Amino acid sequence: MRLSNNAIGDTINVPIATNFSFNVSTENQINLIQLYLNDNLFQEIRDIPEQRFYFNPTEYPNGIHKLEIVAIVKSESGSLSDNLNSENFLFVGTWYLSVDNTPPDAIEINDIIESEDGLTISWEPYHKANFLNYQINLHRQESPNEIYNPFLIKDKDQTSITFTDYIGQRLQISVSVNTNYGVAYSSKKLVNSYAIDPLTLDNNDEGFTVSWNKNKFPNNFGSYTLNTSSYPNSNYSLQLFTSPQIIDTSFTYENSIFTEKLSLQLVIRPKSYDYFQQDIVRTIDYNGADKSFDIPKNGSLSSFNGNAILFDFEEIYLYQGLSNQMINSVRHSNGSKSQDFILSSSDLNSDSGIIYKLNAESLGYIESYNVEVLTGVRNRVLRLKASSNSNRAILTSDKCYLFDYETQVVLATTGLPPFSEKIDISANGNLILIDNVIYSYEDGELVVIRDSNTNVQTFFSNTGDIYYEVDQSNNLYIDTFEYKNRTPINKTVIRGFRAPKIYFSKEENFFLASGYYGDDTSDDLSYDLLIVSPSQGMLKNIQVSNPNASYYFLDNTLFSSDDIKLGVDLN
Amino acid sequence: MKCICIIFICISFNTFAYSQNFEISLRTGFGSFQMRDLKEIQDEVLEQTKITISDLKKTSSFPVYSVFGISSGISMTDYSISAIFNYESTGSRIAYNDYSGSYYFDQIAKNFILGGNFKKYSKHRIPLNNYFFKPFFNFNSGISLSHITFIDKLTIGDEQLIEKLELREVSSFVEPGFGLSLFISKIKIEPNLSIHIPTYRSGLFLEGNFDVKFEDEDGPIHASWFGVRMGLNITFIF
Repeated sequence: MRLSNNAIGDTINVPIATNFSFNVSTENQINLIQLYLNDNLFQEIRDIPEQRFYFNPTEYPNGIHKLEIVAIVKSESGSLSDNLNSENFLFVGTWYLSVDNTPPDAIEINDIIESEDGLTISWEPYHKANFLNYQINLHRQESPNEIYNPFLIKDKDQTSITFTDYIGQRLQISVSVNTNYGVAYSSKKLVNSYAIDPLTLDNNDEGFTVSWNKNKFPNNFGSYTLNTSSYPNSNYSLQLFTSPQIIDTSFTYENSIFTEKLSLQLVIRPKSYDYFQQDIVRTIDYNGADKSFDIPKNGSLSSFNGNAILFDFEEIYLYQGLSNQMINSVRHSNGSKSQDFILSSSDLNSDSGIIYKLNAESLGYIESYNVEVLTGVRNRVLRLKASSNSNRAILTSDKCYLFDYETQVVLATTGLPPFSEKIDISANGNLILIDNVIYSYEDGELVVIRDSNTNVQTFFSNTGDIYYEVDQSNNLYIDTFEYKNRTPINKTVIRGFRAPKIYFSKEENFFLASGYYGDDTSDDLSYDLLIVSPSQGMLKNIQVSNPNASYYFLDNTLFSSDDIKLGVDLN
Repeated sequence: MKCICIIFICISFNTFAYSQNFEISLRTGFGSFQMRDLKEIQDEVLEQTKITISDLKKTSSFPVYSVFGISSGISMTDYSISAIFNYESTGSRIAYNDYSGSYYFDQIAKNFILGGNFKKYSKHRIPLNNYFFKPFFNFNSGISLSHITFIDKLTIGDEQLIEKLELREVSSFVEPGFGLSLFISKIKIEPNLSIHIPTYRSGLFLEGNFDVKFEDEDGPIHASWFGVRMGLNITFIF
């Protein structure tokens, strides 16, 4: 602590043992500095540059103690006495040291104000001398007894603080006073600004509209993200909408009608996750609309893991995720001239399902047969770029079934690598993937994938776990990658079969993630590279625009755990 | 001092035994004193003192100062012999004072001379305004005891710091001179001029301890009383 000349006569609170420093400066020579406490000399300083002293309040009784600093300064008058260094001026500065060795008294929060600047908390000043600091204690609603990252304020006169990174969160707040003789807590006050209430849903002929209130804290607002999933599942894997604009407070899913019970989730992400702020999540359950929907012209219907997906050939478009009951609610579109539709259906947790054949004109049920082992990652809804109008094949999350409609016999079942969640195939003997990747199969197992762009063959073992890469022209083995346990755990949406190839190695000092992430001819390609720890959650989220990219993560501590997963989120 | 008086009385009575005219002479006058070593000490003190005030100066440096003496002896027609006791003093001072205090460095020099005097009067008389002056040659010799006192005195406010040093020196001397003698009734008035020449000098030593001598790189330090003496003797003849 520094003693100021401007504060001579002031009373200084000394809550802890303190090194005081001061500075007596004059053009004249300083001969001696004497320090008196309560008129008793307790220190003499002859080494003038070291103008400091130590004061431990525990050694003194409670109360006010007079501190005098006497500087004995050479007069420089030129007289004989001055010449003999025996003529001096005395400069005396007096301060009062306040000592209070008693436990602190609690203070109370005066007010908590939410404004565009953030969250402002004000509290009563603490008056006793043994003040060390204020501590702002933020308790999250989910763990009210845990103080999250306490914020310390050492200025006794500061009785308010504004958290500019606040974007709305349910918090319990208390302010405590820390002293050397104990801690006194204020009572907790609740901050209940949920910022995105109410989340409303409107289902009408135009589509499906979700609305919410504008976030009230623009300083740290990052984005809105609207997710959905089938009720009552809590894994919100379908991102319907995202926007960094704080004024975007509604989203309309045109030409889409949710007809069944589902759950919606709105996430407000802060711009910065500094200090205590985290995502704000609000959910609403929706019981579904009592409406049918139309099948678009030339549309196609495919299935995925118990959900049926309806789409046309012109654009990637998800119409609806449906459960088993959707069959009865499907209506055909008037203009559809397509062939018969097939779709599959299964329970969410079932290893078996049903493939249905539907009449293209009426969508009426024609026939069905059971299939088995409809396994794979569930609850993922895909946006499909295109589809064959084949009536001979259907692909589920990890199996591809080719069948003959005439005989209704499954011709082949293929294994697919687990990262491939959905492809469409043709029925000409080859499995043709979008993005110009050609598949062939032998003996019922898919063994070769030819990439027509790169002329590199890719082989899969029938386990789907080992990935071989071979230079086709030279027939040279290039590399082997084991994808087992490296499947992205976060939501992974794959555009076609060209799954992200993510190579990573943990070197001594850095972590490398690189790969080819998608269709480089796509104009709207963008994706996030996700680094996820199952135990710690999201560690890194990097927006990527270059489909061929490598990233070196020098922060090795990020990967202290061996259970790190990489994923690519195609936006 | 007591010893000096006894010697003086003995010499006086001894001469009285052979005199035709007994006379007692009182002497006063002025003398100049060389005091080379002590002046050097004064200069060194001035240079080396811890007081750095520019106004610190020498206010006195062994100036011409009065001398006194008494002698007794016998006189005959053209000469006289007497025992003499002279006292000489001089001194120096470095001084400064202002409102806050004062500083002095003094050297006080005193010389006690014990010796004999021989005067040879000329037969020629010089008339002047009905008076006749008789020239004479004068010669003194003897020993001298010098008292030198160094006093360093600093006064700041009510406080004083005094350092004092007492030194002594024993020396012998000769002092030739001349003068005029005016005889009026039983009184002789004799202005005279002489030169004091030390012959043997012991060097300054600490009072009470002859073995503690003061020397510098050039050898012993002396209180040099070399100089001219101008005096007036008034002699009473019995």
